[in-house]
Amino acid sequence: MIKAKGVHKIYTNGAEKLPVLKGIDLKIEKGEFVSVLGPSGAGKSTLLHILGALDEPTQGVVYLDGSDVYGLTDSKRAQARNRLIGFVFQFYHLLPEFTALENVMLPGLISSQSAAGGPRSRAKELLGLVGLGARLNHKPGQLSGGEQQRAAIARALVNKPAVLLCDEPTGNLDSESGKGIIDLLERVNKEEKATLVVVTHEAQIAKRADRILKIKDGRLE
Amino acid sequence: MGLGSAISGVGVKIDNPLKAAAIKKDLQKALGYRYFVRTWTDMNRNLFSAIKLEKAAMFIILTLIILVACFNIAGTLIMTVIEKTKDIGILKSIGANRSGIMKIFVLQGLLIGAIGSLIGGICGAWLAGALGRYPIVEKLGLQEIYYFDRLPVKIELMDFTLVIGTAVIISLLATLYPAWKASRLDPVEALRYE
Ligand SMILES: Nc1ncnc2c1ncn2[C@@H]1O[C@H](COP(=O)(O)OP(=O)(O)OP(=O)(O)O)[C@@H](O)[C@H]1O
Ligand SMILES: [Mg+2]
Repeated sequence: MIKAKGVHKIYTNGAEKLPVLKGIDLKIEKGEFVSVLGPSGAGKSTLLHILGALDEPTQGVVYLDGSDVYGLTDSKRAQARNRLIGFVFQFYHLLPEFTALENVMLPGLISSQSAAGGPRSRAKELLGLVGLGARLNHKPGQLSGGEQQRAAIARALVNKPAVLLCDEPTGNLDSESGKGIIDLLERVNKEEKATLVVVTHEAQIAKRADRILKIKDGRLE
Repeated sequence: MGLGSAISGVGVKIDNPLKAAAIKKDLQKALGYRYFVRTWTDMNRNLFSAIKLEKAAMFIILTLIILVACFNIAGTLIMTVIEKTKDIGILKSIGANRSGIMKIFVLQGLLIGAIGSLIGGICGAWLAGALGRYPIVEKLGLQEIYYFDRLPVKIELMDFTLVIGTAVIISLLATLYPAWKASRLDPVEALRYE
C-alpha cells in the first residue's frame, strides 16, 4: 500500500543544512497497523507528511497504491490526499468557523463538488459512530479536546480512505480519552481494512500495532 | 455688404437638443451638398473638445483612485492569507488542490470589489441624478453668469457600465497575486504546531 525508497529530507536554512531523514526505506501492507516511535525531533511528523503526499522529500520515491505520488501533478496529488488518505493530527486541526458536521463533510465536498445528500448523510453517520451524534452543529471551540479529535477522525474517514495517517492522535488527551481514540482507530483498521499508521511517543499505544517502526537519527532501526 | 436681401443662414430650433446630430444628418440629406448644416456642438467645438478632454482626465484620475482601492483589496487579502495559513494547510491536507485554494481568495476579493463597485456606482448615479434636479446654479447665485439654473446631467449607461466593469476587473487583478501566493503556501509548517 505504502512504499518508500531512499527518502531523504534536508532542511536548508541559508548555508546551513539540516538533514532530518537520511534514507528511509519502508513498506506497509494493505490493512496493516503500524506505529512509529521515536524521540522528539527525530522526524516522525516529517516522515508522516511525506508518506501522506503532503511534503515533497528532498530525495527518494514514495509509492501510494502503486503510483509515484511526487511524480504526479499537483491536482492529481491533491486528489490522492482527498480520496486515498485520511490525516489525524495532534492538534485536531478542525476549521474553527465551521460546525462539526461541516468540518466532517469538507473532504466529501472537495471530491464531489456538490453539497447534495452524499457527504452530508455520510458525515452524520460517522459523527454518530464516533459518539458525536448530538453535537453536529457545535463549533470546534464548543467541543472538548477528545471530542474534537473524534470529529477529526470522522473527517478523515468521510471519503473511505485506504490509509489513515495519525500524528500523535492522543498527544493532547488524557489517557482515558486517548484510549478511546486508539480503540476507535483500531476498529476502523479491523472493520474497514484501512491501513493505519500511528506516530506516537507512548509505548502503550505502540504495542497495540502489528509492527513498530523505530526512528532515530533520521533512520529506521 | 452688397448682398441685398439675400439670406446667409437659417436657424433651426429643435425640441430635444441631444437629437441635434441626427437631425443634422436628415437636414443635410434633404438640402444637398450646396448647403452647410452645423449643430450647436459643431459651433462650440472648442468648448466641447475641452470638456471631452476633461472627461478623459477624470477617467484617468478615477482609475488611479480605483487602483489605490485595489491595493487595499490586495493588502487585505494578503493579511487574510497570512492569518489563514493554518486553514489553508488543513484544506490542503484533506485534498484541496492549488487552483481550489486560489479560487477561494479570488472569490473573496472579487466579492469585495463587486460589492464596493456596485454600492459606489449606485450612490454615484443617485448623486448625479439629484444634481440634475437640484437648481444648484441658482442656489449659488450664478444664474447671471450662466443661462441655466441647474447643471444638465446625462447618465450614460455605457459610461456607467464601463466604470463599474473597470473597477471589477481591476479588483479581480488585485486578487491574483495574494491568491497565487496562498496556493503556493507550504501546508506542512502550519500543521506541525498548534
Ligand atoms: N522548516 C523547517 N526548517 C528547519 N528545520 C525543520 C523544519 N521543519 C522541521 N524541522 C526540524 O526537523 C526535525 C524533525 O521534525 P519533526 O516535526 O518531524 O519531528 P518529530 O519526530 O515529529 O518530533 P515531535 O515528536 O516533537 O513531534 C526537527 O528537529 C525540526 O526542528
Ligand atoms: Mg511531530
